[in-house]
Formats: sequence, C-alpha cells, structure tokens
Amino acid sequence: MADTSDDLELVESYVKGDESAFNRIALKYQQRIYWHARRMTGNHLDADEVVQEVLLVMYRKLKGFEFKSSLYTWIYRITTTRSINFIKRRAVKELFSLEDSNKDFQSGNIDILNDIENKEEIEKLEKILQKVPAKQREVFILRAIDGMSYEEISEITGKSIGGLKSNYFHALKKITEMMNR
Amino acid sequence: MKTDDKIRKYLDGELIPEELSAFEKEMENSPELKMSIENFRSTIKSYRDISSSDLQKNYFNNIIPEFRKSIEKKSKKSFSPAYAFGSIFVIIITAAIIFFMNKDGSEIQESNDVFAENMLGNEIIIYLSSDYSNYDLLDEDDFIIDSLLSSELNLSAANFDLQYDFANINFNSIFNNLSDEDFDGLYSELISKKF
Repeated sequence: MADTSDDLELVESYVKGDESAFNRIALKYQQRIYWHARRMTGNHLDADEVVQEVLLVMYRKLKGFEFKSSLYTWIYRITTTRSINFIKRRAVKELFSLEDSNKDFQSGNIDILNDIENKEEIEKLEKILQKVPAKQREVFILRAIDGMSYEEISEITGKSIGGLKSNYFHALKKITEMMNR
Repeated sequence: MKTDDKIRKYLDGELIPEELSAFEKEMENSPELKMSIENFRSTIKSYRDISSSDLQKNYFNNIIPEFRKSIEKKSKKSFSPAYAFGSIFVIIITAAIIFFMNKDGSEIQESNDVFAENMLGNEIIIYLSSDYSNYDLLDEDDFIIDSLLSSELNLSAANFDLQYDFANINFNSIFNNLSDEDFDGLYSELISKKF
C-alpha cells in the first residue's frame, strides 16, 4: 500500500494553483503507474505511452477530485482504464496491420531494465501475462503482485468481489500452467 | 466446497481454523495437491520479484519533464489541421448556399438597377406617375371600332327589317363633322331612349 498521508495536502495545493504540487504527486506515484502499465501492456514502449496518458488525465481531472476514494485508488483506476484502452487500440492496429510487425523486437531492444541477468526470465513472465485475458490479467496484477485486497480492487475496477475472486483464480491457474510447460 | 475454491481461499488466507486444519491434512495425503499449491505460490513470487527489478533511474527522472514539455506543446499548438480544414469546408458550403439562394433575386434587382440608372430623376417621377386617360386611339383602332359599330348596326337593322347597309361607313369622320349642338342633341336623345 502507498503512503497516502500527504495526498490531501498535495491535491489541495494543486487546486489552489501550486503547479509544483502536481509534480510531487506524479513523482510519488510514477513508478507504480509505470509498473502497472508495463504489466498490463507487456513492454516498456507501450507502458511509457500509457504513463504519459495517465499523467495527462490526472492533470486535467485532479482539480475536480473529491476524495470519495483515496488518491492512490483513483490513480490506479485511471492507469487500469488507460491500459485496457491502449490494449484495445493496439489489438485493432494489429488486426489491420497498422502496427509494425517488428514491435516485439523493437520493444525488446528499448528497455529500461538494468537487470541484464534476469532479463530473459522477466520477458518470459511478461509474455505469459499477455496471454491471459485483460480483465483476468488486471485482477491478477492487482492481487498477486501489488497485494491489494479484493475490496480495493473492486473499488478500482468496479467489479463485484465474487467475480474478482473467480477471475483471479482462473488467471493464476492459467499462468501457472503456462509457466510449468 | 470445491477444491479450486478451497485452494484459492487457502492462498488468500480466507479459510477459518477448522477448514484450514482439514485442508492441511488433505495436502499431507495428496502430493499432487501439495505440488499445485507450491506451483501457485512460486508463480506469485516470480511476478512479485519482477517488481523489485532494477530500472534505469534516468527514465523516471525524465517522466515529469517529458510530460511538461508535451503539455506546453499542446497549449502552444494553435493550428490544428483538422480544425482548419473543417472551418474552410464550412465557409465554402455557406458561401455556396448564399450564392445560389440569391442568384435569381440578384438578376431582377440588377435589371431594375440598370433601368433606373438610364433615367434621369425627373423622368423616373413622370414614368411612375403616368396617366393613361389621355391616350389617343390610333388609325388602326378607329377602323376596328368602325367595323364593330357597322356590324352591330347591320345586325340591329336586320332585326327590325330595315333596308340600310351600315357597312364601310367611317363613323369617326361623321363624329368629327358633327357640331357641338348636334352632338349634345344626339347624346341626350340616346340617354332618353336608353339605347
């Protein structure tokens, strides 16, 4: 879980016109946004595009944020929505061959991972994750990797807790099967 | 409870103490179940480990500056090709509609303007206030009237068995040779007889 103690203060400063408050919010959450986008999209280049989209949405909508949910949940919701929209757009582009067929190759070359030794293993895990339907992937990432409770995930995704539990276990079974092949 | 449901609850820590001890006993008796639980845990651990991978700090240092740059670009971007083309299209369509709607009206207006330009101010006043009561009949008109009157008189003479031929009489010359007194006498006689 993120430390949300100063979120209210930062948002209030931003609403009052302090632009630097937005930078501090972005700095605080940028790694989480990036990792969530990367796990959802499966590569660095796409994740980078989603990060910029998420920041833009945050920048435009933060002034209307009413703290009905935590800022942390709100940012995750934006990231999840943007990632799923991005995946849909990418699928359409691939379908009509608008996307470069060498994208996988390119994105493999352009990466920000310093962990060269585990790079192969990381890419393998990312590819497996991409084979799971986006809705199941989303729950798996939030539950298994980010360690969120089903209540938090429900708040982010708007899905029922029962449905989330079922989706999570389906994803876990599929991914485990693929890893042990 | 189904096995899948029990496994998920076990992994999520949702089993109540009685269910937990029963499930652990089941795992001891089933190497397969134990293996699948280990596999699930291993999967989760593998993905959690990725999150601790070392990433280039330079990338994260540049995220906000990149974002700020894109925001500035968007605010400076006053020319939008789509907007410009759209505006031009709307202007052309509007101009075309106005042109075609006023085409007929403008022709009439144009001819009136030319006519008015060719007349002087006094001529326009006279033209507009013309009185046709003093219009003189031409010779052709006299002939027509004479022939109409002749045929009318012949028809009347036939009705009353009169032996007169009124054809080819120039009534206009007769009217012109009549004195004012004769004319008044004939006029009052016609009125009194309700001819």
